[in-house]
Amino acid sequence: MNVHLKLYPPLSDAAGAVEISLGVKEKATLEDVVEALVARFGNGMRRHLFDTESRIIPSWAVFLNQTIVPFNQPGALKVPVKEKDEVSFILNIAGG
Amino acid sequence: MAKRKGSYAGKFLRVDLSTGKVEKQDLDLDFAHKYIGGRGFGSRFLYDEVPPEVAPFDPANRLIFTPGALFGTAVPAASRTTATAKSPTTGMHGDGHASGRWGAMLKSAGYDMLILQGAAPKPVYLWVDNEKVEIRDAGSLWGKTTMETHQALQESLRDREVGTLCIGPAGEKKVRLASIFCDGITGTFARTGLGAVMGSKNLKAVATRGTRDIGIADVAAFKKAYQEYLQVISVDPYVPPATKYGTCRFMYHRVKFGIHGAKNWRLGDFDWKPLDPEVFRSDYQIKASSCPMCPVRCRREYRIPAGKYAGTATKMEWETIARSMTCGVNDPEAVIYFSHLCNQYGLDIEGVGDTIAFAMECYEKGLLNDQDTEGLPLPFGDSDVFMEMTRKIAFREGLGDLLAEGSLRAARKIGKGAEQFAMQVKGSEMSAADPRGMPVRAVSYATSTRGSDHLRSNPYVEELITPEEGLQFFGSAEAADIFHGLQGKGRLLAWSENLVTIGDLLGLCKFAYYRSATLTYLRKKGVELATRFYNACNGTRVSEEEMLEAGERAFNIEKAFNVREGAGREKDIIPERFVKEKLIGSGPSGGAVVDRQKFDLILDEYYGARGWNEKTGLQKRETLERLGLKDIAEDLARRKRLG
Repeated sequence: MNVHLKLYPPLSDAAGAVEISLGVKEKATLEDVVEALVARFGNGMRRHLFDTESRIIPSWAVFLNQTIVPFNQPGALKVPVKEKDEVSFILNIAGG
Repeated sequence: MAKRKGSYAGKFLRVDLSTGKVEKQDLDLDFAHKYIGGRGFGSRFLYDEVPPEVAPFDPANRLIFTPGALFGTAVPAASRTTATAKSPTTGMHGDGHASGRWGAMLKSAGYDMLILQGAAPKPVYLWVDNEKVEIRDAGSLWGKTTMETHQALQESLRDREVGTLCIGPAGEKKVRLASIFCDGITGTFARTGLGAVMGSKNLKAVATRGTRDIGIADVAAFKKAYQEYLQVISVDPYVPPATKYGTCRFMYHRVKFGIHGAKNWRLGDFDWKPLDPEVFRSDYQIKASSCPMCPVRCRREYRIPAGKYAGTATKMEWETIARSMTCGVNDPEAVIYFSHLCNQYGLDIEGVGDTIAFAMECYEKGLLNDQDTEGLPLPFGDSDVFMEMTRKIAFREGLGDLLAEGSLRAARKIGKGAEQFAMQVKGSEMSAADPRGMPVRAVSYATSTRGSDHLRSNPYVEELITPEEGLQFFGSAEAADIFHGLQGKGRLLAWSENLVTIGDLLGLCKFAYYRSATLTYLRKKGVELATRFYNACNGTRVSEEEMLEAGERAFNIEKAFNVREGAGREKDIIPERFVKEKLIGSGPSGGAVVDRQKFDLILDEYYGARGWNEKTGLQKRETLERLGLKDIAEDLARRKRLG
């Protein structure tokens, strides 16, 4: 199935696009979306999503349709996605 | 000339503008290692020399400039200087922090601190040329804008490299929203009205030339720390958007969370697309650069190519965009022009934006009428009105004279309940984003020692820690829950205040050291490497815990200053609007208010973490003594202001 991804910097730069359609397996979770994203765009994408110890960077968040899922919350990556869901990745750091 | 071994210049310079007396005092290294520099030096001297009976515009108020301890070395992004005075905005501790070469020039001239006191009988500027210190006539500079002043000084001193501080027309007229500018418009001591203090002293500018070197005690240790710093920022995803868009990047976060605070902090949603960072980058950006020695490169300059503001070129930061939205303005060219006006007149963009938004709401509600505004309507979203009111504030014309006092003082003069529309904390207007829905951020605005301020802490740590890290460092996994967590939040806030204060002691940029995508990167840069840089430069063996304690010490001195002025828990509050009115919007914070009970619980924990009295918010004797501030504890005890 396909999910619709919206990407903000630096992921949009790594992907070369701000919106993409991404194929993932049936009954996929956000973790599968992350893995598919890295598989498609390689290390240029991986270096922004994982730290130097290969842990997912907790300050990423996604808006799954209109619901925010911060990656620093327990079970965040196990949240299921459905066909045609819109998944917006945003680095959840304010501070300006 | 042999390089000095160490990052300190070795002397304090004091100038009395009333008498013309110049004093130079040797720096006591024990004092230096205890207070480190920057905000640490400034806060300590302000506490010691400006008691409650001295008003902000009293000649006895001090205006103190202190480059960070690492400024002048090759430490990356170590280019910040602190300015400190009793604030005419808050009546409490006031400070601002700016980048620019001036601080390095002061240290190269031989001074770690410039203390200004008294008031000149006529406009003057101070010329510091290494050992030579002169008070000079500034009659020809008075009335000039910031950039005109900087350029005139460069020309008259025949030195294109000279560092300058100056005020614009707003500072001359003691506008309480006036700032001090560094090297033209390179850096801004923006908040707390310090430009007005400088104006009250009839001091238009300080020009400084220094030619001595600042050395490094342990070059090998310095190089190793430098390489590790570059390694961290090369992997931190926080950095690429900064390098691409500068601070304009924060728009994307505000959009997704719906926390714009548009139209005087009522709307979470706003028509932001005309202000997309990509618009500024593609249509207006003319220069991407950096502060001295910074590899992040988030400075941006923009130029308007055509239209009614054609030819305007200026530097601009995110807060200009945010405060334009507070006034309902979403024309990117108007935003750039607003930045230009504030930079040239010498105004605090955040204070001015929020104060104009306050006036617009008063007009909307009928608290100000056409007679008050001399026939100028004040609708939200009208960029022409936005510019005209900015100009009127700078020159104290018409309604601008009232608004030049800041939103709280203006509200008290207007009466009729206008105070509810003044969005300020301790008299200083709001900054950054709407805190509704994110309780610890609301508390962070309240506990800041210089009034509402998002740079006084880093409550955003809650966004980048895991529950496990929340438990390990702040005593509760809840510390990682942005929307619902309570436990651990007060401890997180206190720690983050100490953390970012380190940056202000050393002169390190908040964005280059005190924001990151993970706690590991944040601690590595902000604590470990910051401390190692200090030790490498000075040959010291300060521990990371001692450096954090130095941050805690400076914060406590500022708190004690405010306590001595009469501030306790009742001043650690936020505008009632955030408590009573739901944020209008569709984002995660839409419909939210700041829950007063949650606010109080976090504040209780915060006071406990700080070692302050939870009921009164006053400091306890044992806390001050633990920090080596026994004399301050005794001073507060005499005044019955201990907790």
